[in-house]
Order: sequence, then structure tokens, then C-alpha cells
Amino acid sequence: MKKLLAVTLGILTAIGGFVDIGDLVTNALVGARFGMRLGLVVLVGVIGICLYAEMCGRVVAVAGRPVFDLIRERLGRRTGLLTLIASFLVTLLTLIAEIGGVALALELASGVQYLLWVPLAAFAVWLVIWRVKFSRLETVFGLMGLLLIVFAVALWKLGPDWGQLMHQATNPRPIGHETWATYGYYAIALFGAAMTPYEVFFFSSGGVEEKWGREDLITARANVFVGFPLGGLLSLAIMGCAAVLYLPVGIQVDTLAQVTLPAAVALGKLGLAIVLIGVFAATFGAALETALSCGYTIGQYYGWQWGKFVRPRQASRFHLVMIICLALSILVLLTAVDPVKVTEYSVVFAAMALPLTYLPILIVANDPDYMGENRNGPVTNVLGLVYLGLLLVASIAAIPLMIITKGGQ
Amino acid sequence: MRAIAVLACLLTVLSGCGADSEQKMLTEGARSAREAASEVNTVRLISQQLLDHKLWVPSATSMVKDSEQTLDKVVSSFATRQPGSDTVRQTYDRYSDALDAASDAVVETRIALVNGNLAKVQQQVGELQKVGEQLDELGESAK
Repeated sequence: MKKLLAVTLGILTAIGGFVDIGDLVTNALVGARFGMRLGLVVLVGVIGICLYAEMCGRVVAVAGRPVFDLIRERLGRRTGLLTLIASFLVTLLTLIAEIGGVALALELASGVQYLLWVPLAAFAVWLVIWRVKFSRLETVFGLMGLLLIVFAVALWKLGPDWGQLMHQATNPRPIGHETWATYGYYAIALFGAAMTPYEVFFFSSGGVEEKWGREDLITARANVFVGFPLGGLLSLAIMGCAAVLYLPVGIQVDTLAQVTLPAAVALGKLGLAIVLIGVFAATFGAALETALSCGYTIGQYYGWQWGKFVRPRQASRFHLVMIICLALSILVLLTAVDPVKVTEYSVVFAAMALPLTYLPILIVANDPDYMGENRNGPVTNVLGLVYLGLLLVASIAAIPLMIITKGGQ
Repeated sequence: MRAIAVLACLLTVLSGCGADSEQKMLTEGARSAREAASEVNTVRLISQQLLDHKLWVPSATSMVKDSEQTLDKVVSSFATRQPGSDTVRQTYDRYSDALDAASDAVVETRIALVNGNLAKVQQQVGELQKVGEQLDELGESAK
């Protein structure tokens, strides 16, 4: 019974924790411009993240070490450094976007300008990381993030023509003034949002923090194979709300307020209150995860003591990296750069860094020295290679499409 | 004879440039109109939700301010365009006037919201609808 409860809690946390600012903004933006015509990309992205997150969970449960630690050991310092730079920069950019998202959610709730909330949000992230136990922070914000289910309720209440939505989803092509270039650009952005590198680093390092062993493989797999797809459904609900409310009247999503508005239209003030708490929890939870991931990647690469399973004094450099990253986030956001734009670029840059993040994971998960009989089977390897091909295509096409479409205009 | 040929070529090139800059202005104007229509329609939706008691005034104000800022960027970006000829100037003015009307309508709505003047907000919903339709039409005039 206790085990079942742990698995259920893990799944619920995974659902709530799946959606972050990148998913919120990109799904709403795409829904408003293309309807559900890019819905299949979310599906492809969710399968991809399940595939690789399962490998990460398995590596941690079997080897007892996080993936980045093994990447450096298995592939050497130079290759490891390349992965480190790409993943770290994308994670830092995502952290900036998440802190901006927290501040924007607070602005919507209070009416006080988001720039005033930025330092407070970053300070709160640091305080929670410093003071709260790992398992508690993961569970609390994951469960609060579940409130985003309000998007699914809102979609149902908006009374869409389900046949029309299905028709859009099964007709993947640009419409109206959109071109194949913008369509491709946003497909890559959605893919990047679903497979953001920090998710796997956090998942694998979190496994070490929670001292996963072989007996925890079931929990890890349940989180991945049930929690992540249900989280993907939340993403589709966000896209659906925008498709129903905004597409017919030509509204383009470029603010977080527009992301939350469908909940108010469908469910009134209560819906807005729930969605604002959900957005706050999702972005705050993701800010914690990205800040920790910044510390994890650098700490693991340099072989420092890292993690929340030891006192901050024992992992001082790990904590210092996080403090520096949070300070950088404040400085960048206080230049008044639009957090939504930062988010849009962060998911595209994430797509560019994807092969560098996921290839080493595939290699480590195939290494018999680390994995023994738990190494990848042939089906997993074929799927892994197919996805690696997709990641490579997305990575190569990202910059040219960004230039051609002037950032998706 | 050669001079006439050169003059003809020059005229062809110049008229080509004229047509090209006219088309460019039309395309940019239509794109700006679509972006502005998006913000105007957002503000109308927010105002309508506020009148239906589905939004709090601070949230609605904050949302309208966001749209106003985005609209300002669209308007000022289009204003930096340089019309080269009278024909292009006419196109420029047509879009510029519509964008200014959109900006005014959104500012009026924000002022009414901040002052808590719901009667004026109600009035603005109609105005925003009208401006939005005009922008939609202009937005469809070119790719």
C-alpha cells in the first residue's frame, strides 16, 4: 500500500512537473496560430522524453550515479565539456525564462509590475533550495502544478467542436498567412519544449538525491510512462484552449496573460485563480529544477560534491553555482527583456542542444560495464537512434529557420 | 536611339522599384495590421470578461497594459518605415491611421479600466470591435 502510494504520488508529481514556462507559452502560441495542426509534434516529443528519461532513470537505478557524471567518465573531459557547455547554457536560459514566468504570474495576480517581483522570485527560489528537503520541494510544486488541469476543464467548458480539433490534428500543415518555414520553426520549438535538456539531468540527479536502487525501477518507469504522457495531455489542452478561443479571431499569443485568459473565459474568477496558482507552481517548480540542474551539471562535470542530500556547507561550490545563476537571471531580466521572448528562444536553443544532450545518454545506457544486463535492448536502441536522427534534423534546421522566419514572425 | 533605350530601361527599373516598394509597404502594413488586430481583439476579450465579472480589475488592467505595450511596439515599428513615393505614402498613411486608431482605442480602454469607469469600458468594447474589424480587413489585403 505504501509502495502504491509512492508510485501514485510520483506519477502525480511527474504530471504536474512536466509543464513549465516553455510548454505553457509554446503550446498556447502554436494553438493560436495553427490550431491543433502541430499537436502530433507534442506526441512525438513526449515519446522522445519518455524514451530517454527511462534510460536516465535506469542508469541511476543500476549504476547509482547520475548521467552527467558517467558522460564525463565514459566520453572523456573534452566531449563532456562540449555537452556541458551546450546543456548548461540552455538550462541557464531556461532558468531565466522560468524566473520571468514566476514574476509574470505574480504580476497577473497582484497588478504589481513583474520587474519588481524578479529579485523576490529569484530569492525565494534560492531560499527554497537552501532550506527545503529535496523530496518535499519536488512533491509540493509538482502537485501544485497539477492545478493546470484547469486547462483541460476550460477546454471542455469552452465547448469546442471536437471533430474540428481532431481534423486539425490529423491535417498537419500551415494555414492562412503561415508558411512552411514558420510551421517548421514552431514544430522545432514544440519539440525543444517537450524534450528540454534540464528535464533528464534533473530526473537522473533527482534519482541519486532520492537514493534510487534497482528496486525503484518500477517507480521510475511509472513516473516516466504514465506521468509524462499525462503531462503531455496537459500541453495539448493548453494548445486546444488557444485553438478554440484565439485562432478564429486572429489573436496571437505573446504574453503570459493571453495563456491564462481561456481559463477565465471558461470558468470565471475561480478558473483564473486556479490557473494563476498552477502557472506559479509550474514555473516556480521548474525554476527550482533548472537552478538545481545548473548546479548538477557543473558539479558533476568537475567532480565536486553536489546535491541536497548533503549539507550546503559540504557542497558549497554546487550552491555557489546556483547562486551565481540566480543572480545572472535577475540581471538579465532587469534589463527589461521580455520573459516570453526569452522563453520562445530558450526552447529553440534547447532544440539545437538536444543531440549533444541525448547522444551521450544513449551511449552510457548501452555500456555493459555500467549497465550489465540492464543495458538497452534492441527495440530501445532502434527507437533511440530514430529519435537521435530527429534531434539532429531539428538541431540543424533550428538556426536557418530562425533566420528565415525572423524568429517565427 | 541608344539614349532612348537607356532611358526606357531606367524607367522600367525605376517603375519596378516603385512597384516593389509599394508591395513591400503593403506586405509590412498588412503584417502590422494583423499584429495590431491581435492585440485589439485581446483587449476586447479582456474587457468583455471584466464586464461579465469573470476577471478582477487588477488582472484585467495588467493584461490590457501588456497588450498596449505590444501594440506600441507594432505601431512604432511601422512608423519607422520610409514611404518613397506618393503612392507608397498613401498606403503608408492608410495603415498608419488604422494603427493609430487601434492604439487610441486601447489607451482609452486602459484609462477607463484604471479609473474604474465600467460604462466607458462597455462603450470601448464596441469601439474595439469596429477597429478590430477594420484591422482584420487591412490585414487580409496582402500576404
